[in-house]
Amino acid sequence: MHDCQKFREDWVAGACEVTACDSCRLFCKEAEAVLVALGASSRQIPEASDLYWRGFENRLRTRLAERTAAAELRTARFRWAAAFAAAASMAVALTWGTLNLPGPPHDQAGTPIRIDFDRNHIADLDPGVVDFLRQSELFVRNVSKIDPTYREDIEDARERASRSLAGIALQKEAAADFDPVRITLDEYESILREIKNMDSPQNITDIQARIRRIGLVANLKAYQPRVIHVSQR
Amino acid sequence: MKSNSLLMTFTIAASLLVGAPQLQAQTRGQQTPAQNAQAQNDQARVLFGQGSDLWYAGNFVDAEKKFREALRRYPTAQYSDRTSFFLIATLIELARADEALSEIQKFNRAYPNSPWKTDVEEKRLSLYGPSRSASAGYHVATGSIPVPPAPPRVVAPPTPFSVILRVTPSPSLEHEHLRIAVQKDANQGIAIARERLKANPSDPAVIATFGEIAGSGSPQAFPFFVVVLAGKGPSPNMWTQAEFSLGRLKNDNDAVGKGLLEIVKEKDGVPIVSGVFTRIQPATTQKVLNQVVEVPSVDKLVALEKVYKGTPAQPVRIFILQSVGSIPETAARDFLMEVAKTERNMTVRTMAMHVLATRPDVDEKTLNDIFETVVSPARPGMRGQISRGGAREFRDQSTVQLAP
Repeated sequence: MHDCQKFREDWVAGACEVTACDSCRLFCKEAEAVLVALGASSRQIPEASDLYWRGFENRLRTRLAERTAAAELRTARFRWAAAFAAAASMAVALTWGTLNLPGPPHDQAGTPIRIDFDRNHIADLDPGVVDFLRQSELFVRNVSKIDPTYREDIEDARERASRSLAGIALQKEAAADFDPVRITLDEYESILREIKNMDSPQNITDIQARIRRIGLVANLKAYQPRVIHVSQR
Repeated sequence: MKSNSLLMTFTIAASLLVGAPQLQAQTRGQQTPAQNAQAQNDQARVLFGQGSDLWYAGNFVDAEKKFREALRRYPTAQYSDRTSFFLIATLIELARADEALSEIQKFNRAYPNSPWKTDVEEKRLSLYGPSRSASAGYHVATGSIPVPPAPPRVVAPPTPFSVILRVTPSPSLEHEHLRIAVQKDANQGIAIARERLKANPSDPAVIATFGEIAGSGSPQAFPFFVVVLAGKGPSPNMWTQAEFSLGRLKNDNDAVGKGLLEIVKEKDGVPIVSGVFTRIQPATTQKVLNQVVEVPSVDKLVALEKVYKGTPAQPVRIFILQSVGSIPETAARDFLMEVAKTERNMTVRTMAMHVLATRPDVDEKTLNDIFETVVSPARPGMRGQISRGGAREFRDQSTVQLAP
């Protein structure tokens, strides 16, 4: 039975040359490389005392012992992991079909879900308006979650509302022939004005209630591209 | 006195002990946990702001990097749930469904009480689509939604490992449920929408689903919009939206004509349809009628006749005559001839003659006979204006496209 620690001690002492153990062969190779490098160096290895060499031997033994112990620990861990994996596999195999874990991000065939966007229902709507609706939807979702005590968020919302108001007339003009979108933009405009002109953070609660009552998020969402699975095409 | 001073000494000592670490931290330039948390919140907020600016500008690739960075560096910061939602929305925009679903799962684990949960659930539904709305292991309780007979609640059978999501209903989430219900089974989805409108005639979730219903190609879509428009509930905006959708009905498998046939069979169906045709834009009526005549069944003629007789509105009658003119069956010709001979309104009657003149199954003699019957008490000079060659002239004129 090969003993790594004993072989390496023997190898350092020059008592043996070859081994079938890969780990020991690697150790010997690295040690030889170090020796070659040292031999090639122009600097002479300084003479050391007997005390130094005895210490060296001790340190080498300790290091070898540590490496061996670490290797044994890894082996033990590997054995435990392998045992656990086997047990887990058995458990999964036995309970397969009764487990119903939260939907993995794959379809039923196990292949990744591929989606695309259906624009047929808004084919005659200006793409710029569609982009505006998408941005507006996220903004309104955000506003509807603002806590009245978070002044920074309210200020951000007011600032963004002002910016959106600057461009809304153009969007309404572009959506003039698309009545539901024009109506939604009218509603959105009035909400934006309320946000911009809030005179108290408490007003945000009223605005949030109104957003909810008129279903503004749903209306903004209704005229955006719809997610479809590629297989549904 | 002694005991008081002893108590004061203890109080001061206790205050020092409590305050010492903070004082030490401040004197060393270190932050207290509260300050540290605030600093993290501020940093996370900056990253979120940068990401959302990129998002609003349509730069989703860079927005994703910012959101991910914010979540990686400050996972426990305030509003991480918001950042996580924005990341999910970004991944969907980038059509990376798998990653979006993975983030949704992370969200549900990390923020079970987040106000963004409803929004995330919407995104999940939109990704899974109708075939997977009841995803494995998810049990979504959305509260009471008055949507009998089959509520579109996404409920998976209870399982030992299911993730229970308690989601507060919102109009946009309900719209998503309804949208999926219509996609999955249009007739049932429309039935649910009708029931919901009975409970709330201005239900925003239903209004937002008008486009989905109009595009479903269901024979129920036409009656649905007719009922909405005939109802007392719709506000001017809802009316406009319903009318817009009525003008954009998908006519797969002659759905519109089948819908008309269905509604005129119902009690009060004819006056309802006639009333709606009278009130909506003429162009919308014309578009609907053009779809109706595509139904191969001869019943469509019976239905159109009923609607014709049910409305006194001249434009609606004219549109019906035009539509009937494109029906090749003899019954359509007979109806037109009856109108041409008996209609009291001269404009409508003239239109019937125009339409007859365009038909290959009406010969010149028949047309002349009809001309002979044209006597209008309201316009006494009319008879004298029609000559023997009037029918031929009429046929020539009728080739000119008639304006609605």
